Amino acid sequence: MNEKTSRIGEEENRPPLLLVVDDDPSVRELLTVNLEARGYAVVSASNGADALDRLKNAMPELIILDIMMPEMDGLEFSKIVRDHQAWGGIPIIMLTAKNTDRDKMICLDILDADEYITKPFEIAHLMAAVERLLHGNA
Amino acid sequence: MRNNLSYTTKLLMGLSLISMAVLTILMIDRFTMIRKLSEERATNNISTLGVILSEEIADDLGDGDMAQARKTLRLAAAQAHVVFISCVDPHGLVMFSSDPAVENKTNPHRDSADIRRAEEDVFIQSFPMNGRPVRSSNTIQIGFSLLSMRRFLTATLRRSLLINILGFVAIFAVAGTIANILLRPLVEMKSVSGRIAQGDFSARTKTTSPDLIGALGRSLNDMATRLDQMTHHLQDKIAAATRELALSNSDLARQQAELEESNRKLTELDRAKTEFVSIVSHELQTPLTNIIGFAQTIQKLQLPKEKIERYLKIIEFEGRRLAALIEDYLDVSKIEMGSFELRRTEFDMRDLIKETVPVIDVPPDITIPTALPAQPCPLVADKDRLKQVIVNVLSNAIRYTGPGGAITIRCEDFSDRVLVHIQDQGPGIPADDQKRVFEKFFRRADDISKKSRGSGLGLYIVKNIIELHHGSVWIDSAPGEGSTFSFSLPKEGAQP
Repeated sequence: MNEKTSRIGEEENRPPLLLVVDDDPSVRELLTVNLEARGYAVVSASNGADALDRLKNAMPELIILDIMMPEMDGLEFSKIVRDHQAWGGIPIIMLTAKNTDRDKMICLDILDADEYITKPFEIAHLMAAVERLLHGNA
Repeated sequence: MRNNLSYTTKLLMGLSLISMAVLTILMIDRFTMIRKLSEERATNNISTLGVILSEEIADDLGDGDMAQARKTLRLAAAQAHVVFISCVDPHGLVMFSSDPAVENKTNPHRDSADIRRAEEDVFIQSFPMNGRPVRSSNTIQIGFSLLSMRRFLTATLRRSLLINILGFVAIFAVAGTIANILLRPLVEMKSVSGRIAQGDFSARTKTTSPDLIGALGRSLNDMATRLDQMTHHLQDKIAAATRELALSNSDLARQQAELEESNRKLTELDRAKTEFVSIVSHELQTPLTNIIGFAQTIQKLQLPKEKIERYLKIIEFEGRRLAALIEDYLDVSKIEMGSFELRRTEFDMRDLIKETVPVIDVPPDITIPTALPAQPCPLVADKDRLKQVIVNVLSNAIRYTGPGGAITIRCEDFSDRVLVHIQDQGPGIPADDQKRVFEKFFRRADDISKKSRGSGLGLYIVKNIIELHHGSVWIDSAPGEGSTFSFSLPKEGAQP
C-alpha cells in the first residue's frame, strides 16, 4: 500500500515526502517551515513510536531523526526501520545533540544512518544533505 | 636400646667365646697329656708288677708252695687295671690263673680275654720267670685294661668342659646384667636427647646422680632448659612480630579499603559529572538550535509578518528557557559544591504564595486556587529560594495536569513550623517513583506536557532548598487520585 502511495505520488509529480522525528515541538516547526519552503512535503512525529505510526500511513523518501526522545528513542526506531523489508532503504539523517564520536560511530556504522548532523545545526548544511540524499548530487 | 646394648654384648660375647675356646683347647691338650702320662704310668706299674710277681711266683714255685703262689697271684690280680694274671708254661698251658675258667687250657688268653672282655681294651703282657732254676721257661701273663681310667678321664674332661661353659654363661649373664645396669642411665639420656633433638625441649633426664654420668645428665638437662627458654623467647618475639605484622596488615587493608572507597566515590563522582555535563550540553543544544535556527529562518525565508512574530516569540521563549536551564545548573552546581547559601528574612508564607502564583506561566485552562489560613504564617527563611520551590513544584504539577484541572495550594501554621501543600489532579505517582522524583534528571514516563521539557532538576533543587532549611518534603499520591507535594519548614525563631 505504501509503495502504491509512493508510486501514485511520483506519477502525479507530488513533492517528496519527508518524515521529521523530534520530541521538541519548536524543532519540528523549524524543520517543517524550512523544508516546506524548499518544496518538500513534511510529516512530523514526537518520538519513535509516533514515527512508526506515520510510516504505516505514508512512505517517506527520507527521515530526519532525533536520538534522545521519550517512549522510543531514535536508535531503537532506526533499528526497526533498517530491519524492515519495505522501510530498510529509506535514507536517515540523524539530527542530534549527542556529539561524541562514539554516538556518531554507532549511528553511521552500526545503525547504517546516512548522515549525522549535530545540534545546533546550520540550516543550509541540513538542506544540502537532504538534497544530496534525495537526488544523489552533492 | 637393644642396639646400644648389643655393642657391649657383642664385645663381651666375642671375648668370652675366644677365652672359652682357648681354655677348652688348653683343657683338652692337658687332658690328652694327663691321659698319656697316666697310661705310661699304668703300663709301668704293670711292668713293675709283672717283674716282681714273676720273681715271687718263681720263688713260691721254687719252694714248691703252689698254694702260696696262687695266693700271691690272686693278691696281685687285685691291683688297679689288672684284669687277670696267669702263670703259663712254655707250651702255653695255663698252670694256674686268677681267672679259674682258663686253668689247664693252652693259650686261651688271646681268645678268651677278647671274648669275655670284648668291651674292654685288654692288653696282655708276658713276663718270663728268668733267673730261676725251676722251670725257668714259665711265663707270667698279666692282662690289663686302661679303659676304666680312660672313662674316668673322659668323664672328668666332660665335666670340666661343662663347668667351663656354664662358667662362661654365668659370666656372660652377670656381665650383661652389669653392663645393662651401667648403660641404663646412658640409654635413658639417649632417649631424652633424642626427644630434645626432635624439638621437645620439655624432655628432662632423671639421671642426675653425683657421678660422671649424672654430670652428663645434668648438663643435658641444662641444655634442654636453655633451649626451652630460648625457644620460648623466640616464640614470644615471633608472636609479637606476627601481631605487629597483622596489625599493620589490617591497617594496610583498612587504608586500602578507604582508598578503594574514596577512589570508587571519585570514579562515581566523575561518572556523575560526565553524565551531568553530557545531559546539560544536550539540554542546552535544543534551545540553542531553536534560537539559531529560527533566527536564520527569519533572515533567509520570505515569511508573513505573523510567522515572523511567532518565530521571534519562540526565540524569546527559548532564550528564557536557556537562561532558566543555566540558572538550574548553577543552583545544582552550588548545591553540590556546598556553596548554596540562604539569605534568611522574616516573612509570612501567605504573602509569598500570593506573590508567587500570579507570576507562574499557567495555561489558560488550568486554575490555581489558594486556601490560606486567616492567621499569619510567619517564618525566617530565604524568601527567594522558597519562591523558587513553589514555582518548581507548581510547574511540575502543571506538566501532569490536563485541561480544566485545578492545582490547589494550601498553607498551615503550627507553633514551630509552617506546612505548604500543593495538590494536583494529575494521574498520581506510582509508589516506585515517589522517591525518585527528587532525583536529578528523573523524568516520569507519563509526562503529558506538550510544552518543551524542563531541566529535570526542579524537584532536586526543591528538595535541597527545603533540606538546607532543615525542613522536609514528601509526596502523598496514589495512581488516579492526583498527587500532593508537601513541605514543612521550621520557623527558626520567627516572631509569632
